[in-house]
Amino acid sequence: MKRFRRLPALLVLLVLTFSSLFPIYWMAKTSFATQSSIFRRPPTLLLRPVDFTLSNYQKVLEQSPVALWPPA
Amino acid sequence: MSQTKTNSLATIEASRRPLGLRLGSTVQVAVLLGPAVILVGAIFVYPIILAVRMSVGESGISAQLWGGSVSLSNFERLLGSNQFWNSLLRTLAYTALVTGFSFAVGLLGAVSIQALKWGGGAFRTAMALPWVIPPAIAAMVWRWIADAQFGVLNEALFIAGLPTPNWLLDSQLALLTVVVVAVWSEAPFFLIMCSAGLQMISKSLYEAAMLDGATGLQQFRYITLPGLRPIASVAIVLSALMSIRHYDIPAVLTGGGPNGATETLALLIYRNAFQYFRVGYASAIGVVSLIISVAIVLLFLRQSNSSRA
Repeated sequence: MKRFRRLPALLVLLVLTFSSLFPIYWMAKTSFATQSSIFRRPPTLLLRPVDFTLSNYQKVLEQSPVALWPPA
Repeated sequence: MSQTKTNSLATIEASRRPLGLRLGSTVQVAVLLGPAVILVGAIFVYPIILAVRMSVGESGISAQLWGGSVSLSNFERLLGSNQFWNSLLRTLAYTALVTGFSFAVGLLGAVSIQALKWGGGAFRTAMALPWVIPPAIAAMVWRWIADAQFGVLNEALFIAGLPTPNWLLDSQLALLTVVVVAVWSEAPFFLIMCSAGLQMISKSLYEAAMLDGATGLQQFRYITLPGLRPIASVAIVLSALMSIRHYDIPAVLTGGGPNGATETLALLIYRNAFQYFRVGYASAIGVVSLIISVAIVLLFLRQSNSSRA
């Protein structure tokens, strides 16, 4: 009885977990991508090593006062 | 019910007297309660009074409590405006859909976790993660995912051979897209509440039901749902009150567009107050949505009181 319910429950959880985490993954992935690769079609599921960049983070730290309060 | 009430009152009365708190209790009450009353008054009560005052005043940006003319012209214009009625219906539909689907998804997740032998904690943590993403950022990410041209969602649909609609610019789809994003953001709340509620239901009830030959569906219907009721009803009201005021998700996703198809009351208030500077008119909308929120709470209170008796 219980055994029959476990498989559908697992499937439901896998679907829900995927849809919960994918947008967060996508946000993180996009944050490390170069501008040109973001607008390339088709988008790749994994970030290719050539497209990896930290410049987005550099920009955030240099151009917006994220570490300052109150903002200057 | 009334028996226990008088009993408990009598106990309180009896326990109070020997302590001798009655002398000077007025001063004591004033001192102890004062700071809280001032704080609540300044933060909650004063803005509400000011909003009501502005809603019956001139529609300028000056906010004055005393003096000035009083008229109902803002409400007159409001009730005669198609834009307002459409927005009101849209907001109610949005609230019902977001709360309903979030509850369904959260309950489904909680029940599924309960059915697992182990690993439930990991799933619960993973599914609760959207709750910590600020709604404005969630909306930003989803806007990119659902982008008609570069979005990964339409790319996946295209590969699967399915239609690839313009999720945020199609006036018939946009509201549903906003609802989906809001559900993504709200469902973890219900997941956590329902998980807590499920753990409060005694295992022995299920054992007794199994001995009596109840099917899984019957157990769900007659044990799980009634057992969840107290927590679920509070969670539903809280979530409904939250989503009726949602500003950030629709604002970032569509900004009320296309052609006003996702303009909820919160967006309408913002636009009137801070883009057109019709503060009086915006306050009138605010007063109406306050009345609706209060009505929801009163309905809920009556419902939960009647179910307990």
